[in-house]
Amino acid sequence: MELTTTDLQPNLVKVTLDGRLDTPGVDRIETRFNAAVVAAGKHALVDLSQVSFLSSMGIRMLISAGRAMQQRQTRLVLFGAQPLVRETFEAMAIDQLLKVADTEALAMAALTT
Amino acid sequence: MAVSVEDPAVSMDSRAPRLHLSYRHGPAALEGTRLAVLRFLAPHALSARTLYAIELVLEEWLTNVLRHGHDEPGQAQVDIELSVQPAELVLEFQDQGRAFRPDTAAAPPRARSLDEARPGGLGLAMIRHVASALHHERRGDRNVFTVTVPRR
Repeated sequence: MELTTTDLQPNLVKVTLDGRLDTPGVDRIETRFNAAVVAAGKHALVDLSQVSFLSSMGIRMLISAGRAMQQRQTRLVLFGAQPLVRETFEAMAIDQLLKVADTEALAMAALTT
Repeated sequence: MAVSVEDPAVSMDSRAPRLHLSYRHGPAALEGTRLAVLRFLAPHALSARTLYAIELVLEEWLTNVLRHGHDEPGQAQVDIELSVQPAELVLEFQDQGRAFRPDTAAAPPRARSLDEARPGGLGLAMIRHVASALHHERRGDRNVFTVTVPRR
């Protein structure tokens, strides 16, 4: 599991995840993920297009970050999930809790709605 | 029979090929288990969806055993048997952890907002989503949990 960050605007960061969001993957990146999306105090777009697998540990990491960001009044939008990952979001109703968009452009638009 | 994640036992019965893994379960064993299962399944031409479902069941159940089943982390002896049948795959897990009834455990209430959401507790719900049947029994001092995943 790899994580890269790109500053899109002074108050907006894009975090790209690449690999499996399972227990070993979350163990590897959770601290850096929280630093990038929560501690930075910016809005965040998370690119999931290279995430091939999502387990409950991955969902826990995303929900925890979303809650912490909400408390800081910053926003989190996920985008680009592969079909089987997207299906998990829908089956577990995660898309009711976190903003999930198909593309980066739609994720950017979702930040302001 | 001494079998391990590195050297699993594989039955050659072509009607119902079977993989048996038996090992001391710990965080480091998760990845080895997954790879051993994928190596065994490679010749069976399963769809990406079916493989994803098997990986999900493995990840969620083994993480559950690791986190909740034992007082001493890393002391879980786990046996996994996977059989490939024409219409489905059957995964049987055995461990000597605390008695647990996953087939009757209540699903966590569905959160309607991030404020309500309690991270965690989704593992069993995710297994139920991909499985066509779950069965659990306590056999002596062992939990025996069987999950049937349809070939799709």
